[in-house]
Amino acid sequence: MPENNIKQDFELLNHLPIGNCIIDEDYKVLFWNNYLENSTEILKSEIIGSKLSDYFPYFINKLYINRLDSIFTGGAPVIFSSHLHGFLFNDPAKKNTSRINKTVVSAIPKPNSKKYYALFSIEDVTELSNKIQQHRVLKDEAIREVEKRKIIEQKLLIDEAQLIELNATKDKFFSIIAHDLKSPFNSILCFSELLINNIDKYDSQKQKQIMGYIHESAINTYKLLENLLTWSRSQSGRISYNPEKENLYLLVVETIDMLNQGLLKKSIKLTNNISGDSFAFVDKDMFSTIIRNLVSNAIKFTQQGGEIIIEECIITDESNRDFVKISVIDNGLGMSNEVQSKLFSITHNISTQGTENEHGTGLGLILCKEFVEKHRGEIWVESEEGKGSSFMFTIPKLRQVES
Amino acid sequence: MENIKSLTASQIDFLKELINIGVGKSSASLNTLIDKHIILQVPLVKIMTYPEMMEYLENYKDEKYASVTLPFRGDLVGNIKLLLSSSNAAKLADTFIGENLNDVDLDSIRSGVLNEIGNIVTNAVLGSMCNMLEVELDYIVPYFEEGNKTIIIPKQLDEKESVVLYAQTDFVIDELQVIGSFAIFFEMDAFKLLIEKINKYIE
Repeated sequence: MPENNIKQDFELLNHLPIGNCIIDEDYKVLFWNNYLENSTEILKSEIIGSKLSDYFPYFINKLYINRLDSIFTGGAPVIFSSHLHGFLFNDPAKKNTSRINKTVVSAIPKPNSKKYYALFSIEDVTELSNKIQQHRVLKDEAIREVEKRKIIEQKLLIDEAQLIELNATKDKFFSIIAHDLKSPFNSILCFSELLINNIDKYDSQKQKQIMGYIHESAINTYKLLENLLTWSRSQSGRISYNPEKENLYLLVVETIDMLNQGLLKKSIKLTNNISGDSFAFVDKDMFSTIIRNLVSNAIKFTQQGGEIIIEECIITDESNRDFVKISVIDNGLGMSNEVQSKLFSITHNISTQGTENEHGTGLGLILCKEFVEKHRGEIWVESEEGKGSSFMFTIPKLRQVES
Repeated sequence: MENIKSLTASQIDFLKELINIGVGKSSASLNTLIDKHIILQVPLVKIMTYPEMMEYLENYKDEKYASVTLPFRGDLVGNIKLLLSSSNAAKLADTFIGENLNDVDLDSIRSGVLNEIGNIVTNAVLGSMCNMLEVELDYIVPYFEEGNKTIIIPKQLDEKESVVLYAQTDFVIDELQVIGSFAIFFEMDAFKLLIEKINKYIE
């Protein structure tokens, strides 16, 4: 097609706000519109008749030649995205003035021929691309900032939960001192005052009776104080965990010896079904505290003539580790699901009176939970109102029985 | 509609082969754009009527999709579409861009790259078909769109008189596998002509 005809036929393209050029199958430039002349600073008179690759060397590359081949036989338009090919119409010598272009190449039929020319439509998207990049950077920063804040928020939630627990601990401590210890001291004061004022009037039996009440109150107070102090030391990390191989039967026997008076007073039968050669890896003092608290509670909440059984069995967890499961079972009052759910929680813990108005601080079970967890075990309860309760906990067993 | 039901095994195989050839060529082109190796697999090809396609759409989740559409006219009339979920489209685009952003926003950088990828695949498939069957087509510049699954069916499609050649296309790039699909929507007369051309070729 003569050059003049192309110029005339495509004159409209000179008025478009995008770059247009036309090449033939030899990559010879046949048309170069005004926009391109201005943006590339290459005059039509220079480039028309020359090869496109003489000015834009990327068009030597097979990547582009192969993709443009089909255009010259009437194939579908070819898109060169701005991000991957934005440099196509940049002069490599003019790096400082490089632009980013999106290029679409379409086939336009040659008159009187089955062949086609390639029409390039070149859109300058430099400003848009730069803005998008800036937007991406900002978005990235915003997302990172949000992630960072989420982490801080999580940490704050954890800290808040810990603070709530610490506050509950502190409140509990002062509440115990203010209320729970007051009652047994009142008994000591009342009975001792009664004795002082009436010792001459009372016979020895009466005196013994009152002194018995004073002694019982003193023992209860001592127990409460002991629990309180142990718990306080546990909270401040002053109780160390020192597990050794221990005979569980002997430990249980030693512990329940101290509780005999309570058992006798309520005629409660206690059966120790732990076998004599039962060994486990435990901290002796912690284990004793656990047994003492569980059995004390069982005594407290079992009626006259009731029964308490201590038994054991071996269980294996998913990682194939053996644990001894100790159960303290009573046939006493039992408790509701609601009470069970609050037993091991410092924030919800409530102290209740026993079948004969025995007092407690509610700390005993919290202490048990802490000590069981130090052994990497678990503690839980199964109970039914009116039928009794079973408190169970697990402690690690030795791998081999050592004689 | 009887035309589809009466397609012979040879005709169906031939169509599948045309698609595989086209997909193979597009794989070669795509490999020149990044420094990773891309394999395109076509595990599924179906020929469906418009109602069957609408029913098949029920398999598509209610999420956002991205498509590149190339309309064509001439001996055959219809559209060819490459379709991906927006999240898959973002992953695929990022592989070519060389980024690893966490969001699925298809901004103009991603959509531009997807437009090119779609252009390469659709051109190669349609180009193979036209070259082998000596079919002449005129094309409209392909376009990118994003939306819910209603964008899968071209707006110009005549409900009663359309046939869909549908193929699932998996883009495998190193450990990344992106599932997409492309579909060629033919007007019925165009599909009849296509079958005539295939018969001539097979003979």
